[in-house]
Amino acid sequence: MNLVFRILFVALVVFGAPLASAGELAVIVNAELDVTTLTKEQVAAYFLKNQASWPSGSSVDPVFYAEDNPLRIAFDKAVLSMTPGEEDRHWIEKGYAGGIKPPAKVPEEKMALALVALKKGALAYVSAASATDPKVKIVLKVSY
Amino acid sequence: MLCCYRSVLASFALVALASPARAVEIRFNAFGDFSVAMPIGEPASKEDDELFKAHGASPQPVNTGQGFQVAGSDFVITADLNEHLTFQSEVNLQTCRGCSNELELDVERMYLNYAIHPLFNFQMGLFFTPIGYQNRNLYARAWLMNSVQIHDFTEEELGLVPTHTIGAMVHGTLALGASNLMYAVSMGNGRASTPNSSVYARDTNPASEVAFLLEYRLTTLKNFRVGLSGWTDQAVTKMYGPEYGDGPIADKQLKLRDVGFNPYVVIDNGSFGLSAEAVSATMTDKNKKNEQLKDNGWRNESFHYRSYTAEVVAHLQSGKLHPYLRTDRTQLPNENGGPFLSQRDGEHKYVPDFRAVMVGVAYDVFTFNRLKLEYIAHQDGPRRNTVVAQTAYGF
Repeated sequence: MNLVFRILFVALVVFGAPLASAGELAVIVNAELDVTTLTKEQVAAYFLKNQASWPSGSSVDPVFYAEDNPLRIAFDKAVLSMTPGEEDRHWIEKGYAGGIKPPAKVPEEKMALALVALKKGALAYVSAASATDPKVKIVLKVSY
Repeated sequence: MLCCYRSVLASFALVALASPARAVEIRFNAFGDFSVAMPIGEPASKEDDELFKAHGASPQPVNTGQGFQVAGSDFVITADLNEHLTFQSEVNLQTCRGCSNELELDVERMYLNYAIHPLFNFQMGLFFTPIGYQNRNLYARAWLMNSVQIHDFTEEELGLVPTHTIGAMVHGTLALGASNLMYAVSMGNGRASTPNSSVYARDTNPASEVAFLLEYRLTTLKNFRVGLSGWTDQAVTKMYGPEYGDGPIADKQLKLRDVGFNPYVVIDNGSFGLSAEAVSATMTDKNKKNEQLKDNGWRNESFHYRSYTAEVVAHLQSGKLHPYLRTDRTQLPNENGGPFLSQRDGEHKYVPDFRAVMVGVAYDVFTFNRLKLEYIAHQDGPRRNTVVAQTAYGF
């Protein structure tokens, strides 16, 4: 029996860590934006437009994906503490209250990268390995 | 707020026609609810019930539920005309409460917003006054509310708070790190001549309504706001006698200045929420030196009214299940509701106060659908305790 426990323990040590953390997201902004790092709470406030402008005064333009996109599911859970359904509800509520636009929806992370590279106020998230464009910079990394 | 069909349809058509050629981005949303209510037992006060039967403003008091109810649907069109200019229109197709086969088309909002700078934006048209939290964010939107009950101070039929205005507003937000400070100041047409009507155009009231709001938000919590808002307005109305059933006194006009304050606090960390909001306002005879109210049988020249709501809610099962407890109270002015808020259908009517506790549970069965089951225990007035089930939608 002891042997079985030892094998299980070794297996947990070897395989447990990668199982607990399946991937890493990078929150990105335009390289010219005067922001270097952000906390999870700050990203959530900017992304949900509870804080609608950057410190410079320019408007925040978040970018997101379809409800069933794995990146969105991971970001919503890890950063916004929401499900994609709750996030949709948030945007409808914002729209009712003051006509506030939901984020621009893109089909894949390549487009999110391109949008952030192009637009100074844009805010998006991609898988950490993809954030290599010099026109964007990483302001937060999140494991999920 | 009965509206003109043509102007609404024309504005909808204009927006719709403009979109393909100029690439105007248009969003369409709607919300509404269906309810079934079962009153239980006797009215909270038999005396008030008798009074309501004799002098009530409609077949049943406002916020009374009985049987199946279709409240109506709100249709919201938002058009982003360009990066800085947004048009928003909200049309409410609502049923006439206590009537048969009658629907009203009601314009809730129709305005243009110029987003100039985070600190300074300009809005013009018909919009919610910058008063309170409920008025600007929930406003009888059952899908977003936990309780079934509509707050008295956002109930247009009561006219306690000038919930809408036709005018202009400046508003902005100052970012302060993890928090921000929002302000809004509006100026619009003064109150209409009766509490449950509005003036869309050709305002004959010489006074304007001015409203303000200052709100502090902490952005690191799901919802944290503390705000103070208020207004000053004037009603130019007919002089009625102080007793129920009194009609207007011929050729006598009454000018009442109203000043109100509306503080509120909303705290929600995603697991637990608390909100409280109060309205305190006074209507005063503007020409009290002439003693015109006293000359016509009224004992006072100043009429105070107040209303509050407080709610606690828990968010369980990954935020889908929301058990809540709420209490509301509304006290209309002394002297049978005062000379303005009690005017209905050309007569001085009995508009009852409201004091109740609501306990219930809301469940988000799908993203765009919320089910509710609520028990309303009335502490006073002509209403009966009621069990209400509601399905509310928004998309």
